[in-house]
Order: sequence, then C-alpha cells, then structure tokens
Amino acid sequence: MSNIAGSIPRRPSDSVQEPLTCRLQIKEHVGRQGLVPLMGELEITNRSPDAIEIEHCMSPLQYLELEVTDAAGRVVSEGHFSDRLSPSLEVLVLRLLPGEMFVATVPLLATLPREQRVAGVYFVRAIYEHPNLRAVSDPVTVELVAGA
Amino acid sequence: MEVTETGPLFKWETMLELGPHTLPYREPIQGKIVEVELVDGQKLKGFRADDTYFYFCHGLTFGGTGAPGGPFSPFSGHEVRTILENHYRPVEPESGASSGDILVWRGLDGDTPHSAILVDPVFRAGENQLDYASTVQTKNGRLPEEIMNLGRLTGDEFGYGDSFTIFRRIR
Repeated sequence: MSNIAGSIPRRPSDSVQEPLTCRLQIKEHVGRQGLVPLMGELEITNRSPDAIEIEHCMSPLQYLELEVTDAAGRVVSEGHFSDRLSPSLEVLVLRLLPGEMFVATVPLLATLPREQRVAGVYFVRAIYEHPNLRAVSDPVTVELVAGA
Repeated sequence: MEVTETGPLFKWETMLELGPHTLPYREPIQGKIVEVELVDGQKLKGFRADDTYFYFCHGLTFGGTGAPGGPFSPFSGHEVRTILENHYRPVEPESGASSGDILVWRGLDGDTPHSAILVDPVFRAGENQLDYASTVQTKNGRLPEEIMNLGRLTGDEFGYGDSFTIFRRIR
C-alpha cells in the first residue's frame, strides 16, 4: 500500500467534473521476490479549483472500498478495505491542491476472501467515499486462472 | 551472546482510562483511550474496545492482549515508535532474525501501519533477506488473528508490501 503524491496537468474537459475523481488500473508491482500478482494503482485526483483536505487517522485509504463483482454481476467482495488498517491517535491531513493526485498501490482483490477466489473473470471498482466527497472509478477486469 | 528480553513491556497497574474513543472503520468500534506506563516509566496511549475483545496488530505484537480487563492496543505512529526506540533494536541484516522477533511496517509521515510477530523465519541460501515462506503471527486491523506466510501478508490479499523492518526486544 505504498503511496505518493504528485500533480498532473489539467485538461479542458475537467471543468465539469466532480471535485474528486478516482481511477483504478492494473499495475505491475515487483516485490522483494519478484512480481506480485493482482496489484493495481489507485489515483485520487482533485479536479476542483480549490484545495481538498482529507483528514485520516489510519491512511488516506481508509475511505477506499474495492467492490468486486463476478462475471454474473454479483457483488462477491466482503467487508471494507479499511478493515486491514490500524489506527493512530494523530489525525493527519492529505491536502490535494487543484490538479494534484494521490497515488497508491493496492491489491485489487483485497476484499475478495481467499477461500472464495475461484477461477474466472472479476470486475473491480474503487469507491472513494470521504464524508463530504465521493468518487467511483471505472471497473478494471481481473482474470483468475485455475491453479495460478 | 545477546539475550532477547521477554518480560512484560507494560506496567498494567498504572493503566488509566482517558476518555471515550471511536475507531473509524466502516463499522466503527467504540472504546476508550487508555494510558499505561512502559516498564521504563514512559507513558503510552492505546485503545481498549468496550467489548473487551477487539484488538489490532500492535496489541498482538507488543503483548497487549494479556492486559487485565481486556486487550490494549498501542496506537500506530508515535506510540509504536516510542516502544521501538526504547525497547527494541533493528535486526540487520535480516538473516539474523529469529523466532519471536517482530516486523514493523513503515508508512507515510512516520506512521507504523502494521506489525506482526515472526514465528518461523526462512532464508534462502546465500541471501540476507527474509523469505516469503517465513511465517508470521498477525492481526490485520479488525480482521481475525492468523498465522500465515509472509508472502500472503505482503502480497495480493492484504497488500502491506515489503517496507518492513525486523526488530528484537533488548530491554
């Protein structure tokens, strides 16, 4: 769940967008022993003309839900992404200036329990839901292969 | 030869409730902020759930689950760093790690987002790094306590990643 902040150039079409947008994509991730499968990259971008402050006491990812649906459209994910996080006493603030983004590496099927992972196609949406802001990504397609 | 300290880390008789506190999970957990002294006299804040059962990773890792009246979990960040700086030392290289050492993950702004207890370290011949086949005892947030291999903990299910340091209790 490593994360970084950066900025992106604004686009003309951004003027009518929601203040916060969320993008999820498959991202190759290499750990200390090689490729880690089923990893993705989450981008949360401030599309508003004002700075956005996100208070958190676990991680900016405490507001993230990864919703997994199977090929039949059934939601198969359980719990919430934040279930795996541990709280601190300090309240930290992620401040995103206009055009700035927060980027984090996330396990795409984190909310799909291991014992329920069967071969097939899954669709994963990131839903970022802060008390005053909500952003939903387009789904990414993940295929689990038997025996992999 | 270095001897690993295994005695109590906390003076439970000094425990003091400071006030109510809610952990902001999707399903919030109600409890209290509790202050307790470490054996060296430093004060430390942690969380005790009203249900007297819940705890998170640092409660398991630092021996807070045996607290009288219900598990005590030191908060991430400053509280965990205080414990590490005063009672632990990094194990470097990792190949010096042994059962009972702990793994603490590094996060943004000095956070310590996760910790676990090393149960069975595995090393590949000629390598100084802990192998993913090593097993750890871990309590991942509000999820159940489990013993699992390091590859599962760092990988595509929990996603804590590889940014951990191994520590050994020294006092």
